[in-house]
Amino acid sequence: MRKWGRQAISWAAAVILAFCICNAAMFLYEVQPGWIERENGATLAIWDPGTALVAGLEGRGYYHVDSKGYLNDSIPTEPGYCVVVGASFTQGKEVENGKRYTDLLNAMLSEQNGENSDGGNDAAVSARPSFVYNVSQEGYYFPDIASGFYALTKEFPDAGTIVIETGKTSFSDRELEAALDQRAYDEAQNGENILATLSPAKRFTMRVKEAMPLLNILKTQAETVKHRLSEGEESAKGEEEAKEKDTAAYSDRLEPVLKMLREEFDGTLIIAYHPDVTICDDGSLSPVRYEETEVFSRLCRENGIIFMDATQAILDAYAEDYSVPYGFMNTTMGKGHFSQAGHRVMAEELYKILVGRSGQ
Amino acid sequence: MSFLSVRFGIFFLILLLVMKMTRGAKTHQLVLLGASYVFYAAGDWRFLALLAGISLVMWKCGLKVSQDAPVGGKGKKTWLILGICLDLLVLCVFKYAGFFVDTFTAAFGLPRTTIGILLPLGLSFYIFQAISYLADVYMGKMKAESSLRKVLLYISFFPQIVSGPIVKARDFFPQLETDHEITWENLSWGGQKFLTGLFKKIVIADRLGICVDAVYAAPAAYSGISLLTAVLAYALQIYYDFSGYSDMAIGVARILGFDPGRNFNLPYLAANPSEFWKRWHISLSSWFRDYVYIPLGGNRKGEARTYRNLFLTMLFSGLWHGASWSFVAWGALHGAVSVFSRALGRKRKGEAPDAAVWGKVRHAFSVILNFCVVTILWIPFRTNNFGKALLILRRIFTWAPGIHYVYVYALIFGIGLLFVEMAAVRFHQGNDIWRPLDLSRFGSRVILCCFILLTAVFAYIGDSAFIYAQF
Repeated sequence: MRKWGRQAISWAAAVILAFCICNAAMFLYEVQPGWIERENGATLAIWDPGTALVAGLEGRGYYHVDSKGYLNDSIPTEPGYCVVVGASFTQGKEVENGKRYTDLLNAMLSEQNGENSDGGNDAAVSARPSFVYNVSQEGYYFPDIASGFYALTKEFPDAGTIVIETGKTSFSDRELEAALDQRAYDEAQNGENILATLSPAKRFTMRVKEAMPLLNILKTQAETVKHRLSEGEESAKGEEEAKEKDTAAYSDRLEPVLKMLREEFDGTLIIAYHPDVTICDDGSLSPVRYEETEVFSRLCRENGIIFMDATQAILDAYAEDYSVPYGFMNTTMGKGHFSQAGHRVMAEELYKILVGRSGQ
Repeated sequence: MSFLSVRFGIFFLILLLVMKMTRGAKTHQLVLLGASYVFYAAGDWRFLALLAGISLVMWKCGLKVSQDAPVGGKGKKTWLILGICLDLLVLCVFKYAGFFVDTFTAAFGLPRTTIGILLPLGLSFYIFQAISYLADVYMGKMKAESSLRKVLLYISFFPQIVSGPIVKARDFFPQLETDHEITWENLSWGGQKFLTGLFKKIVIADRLGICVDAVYAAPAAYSGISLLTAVLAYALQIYYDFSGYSDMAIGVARILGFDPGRNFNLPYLAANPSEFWKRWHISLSSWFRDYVYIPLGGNRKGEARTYRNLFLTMLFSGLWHGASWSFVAWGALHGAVSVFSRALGRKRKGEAPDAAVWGKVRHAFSVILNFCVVTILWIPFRTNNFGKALLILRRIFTWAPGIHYVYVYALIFGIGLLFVEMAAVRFHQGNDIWRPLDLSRFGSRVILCCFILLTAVFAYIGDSAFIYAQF
């Protein structure tokens, strides 16, 4: 009995030590900051302010979480800045800091503003945003962005431009209906303020999870297994929904959402769309087209929203040097999040619009 | 039932419990036989009767062809031929009927007819084991088994029925005579072997598959360097996938007290094709050597016949891998390369031996050259399409422009294998360096736990079909 007891203790100690060793190694591979959900904010959740994020599963990046809970090097100070809101594509943790489209846009704008600051068109310069601020959350898609739009304008009252990133133009009736239901804004749930609203137990759990990236990764693996097992059922459901939609009915559902966005915000409103792509057998790159994109684009125009379609720019970039907008050397090309090339295309297209709007 | 499923885990645990609670070789044989048929039925119950039928026929034929059989010499040969022909007929009907029909209709310009015949699970493997039994008994390498139970078990033994290793009858039957008690030593050895195989499969092979699948799906889109990376990635993927599965099968068999033998021995360290086939899928190559090459005459009937026998053996090996002209061509190319290498080796036989350093350099060059040839020959194997294979080769050798995609894990795992091979050459005369950890030591326990955690972290959760399960 004593022998079995000693063996059990030895094995338990081995497991604990192995866990500590592997957990330490994970700090170089993949670290997620604490994830704080909220009900009344610009996004449905923020990262734990002041912590770090290391991305290695897809691409490679290292980021610092700012005091508002987003991934930025600094907070906007001067009015008239541009807020870019989106999902993980906008978050861009898969590329190195400075290579995301919001960072590239910042660099382009400060270079342009610097060139024109002496002897240039002062009106044009002042109309152009001086800073681009990245507001993004994983899984934060257009319907959720729309329902949090009021809160976004309250959290960033001095924004002169809002860009909404989306990779989809097709949404279910349920999603569009839910988008009209605006979330309230509560300053107590902003950035670092939210930490005070967390219970000690929640805060402790969050800190422990932050210190154990290994657990997060194992949890992600388990969720992926579960997701793969249920994939068959989900795709069948999705196909059913798609079959039922017709564009006229879709237009009727989408228009109130876009109207609401326009009414909520007086400044420049841009929807930045980027399509999925397929790498074809013949070596060409083909965008995935949906009927709903035309509807989306038309309704944006009719409601004074700029619809930026990056499709042609993506195809032009591919024709020039075979750069693909999605994918990485440690995953696969053409799939997943924005590659450096994808971020560059988005930055260039947005830059053209922002500079053009300011009368350059 | 895949080794990587929860169902298999439960099945195996129950089996171990039953084995632990029972005693005696005969009882254990019955338990394992029952388990093997349950395992097979879980995969596809429709062909259970075929499996049992083949086993029954082989048992009967074995009694007829045995050295002790009352039947006379020519009668024994007739039974041998009948038995083997039946095995090959079953294999041809289920595996090659569609291929033969397609070839026939294409050759005579007839309208295309599709024949849809389901391939029974593990057919290619258990048919070869059945032939091995009959041939070993006929050649006097073992006595015919009077117990139907043992023959049924040999042909259906679940650790190896799906994708091998193909264990020769003369190596398997003696192992049945012992009481297969579940021991800590076997559990430790077999468990660690299984985990090694699991790591090779779900961390390395499946992750390499991401790059291979993407690039091979649209090779016209990728640059020359990207294609070269994908080609190298496939050479690694097929090795790790198949050797990983073999390790899992060997590990499971070992836990049950059986030793199926080694199936891979660092094949990319081979300096020539002959050595490659002594290191790659050892059970299959030795099967072809013993039951095809040697009966054809081997190297006993002059050089010309030797080359013919070598070529034919590789051709049949190619055909075994798949019912298509690509696989036949792959086998033929390997045959041609083997013949060429043998001819070259004979030419050099009379030359004076190289000085030590120059000899090592020459050997290293041979290893690299052999690896390049084998890797290039994997291209048509993977594409199963000549046009695509030629496209890939053309784009590599012309350094064509395209999407730049140098898969990081191909480099990491390639360099990793290189280090393993260098260690094998340095410390183990170029043989596989795998050894189980001594789990009585605390340090070994920590290493094992780290290994398990890292396997869970880096496992690629995707389509996990074993490459060789399609054969």
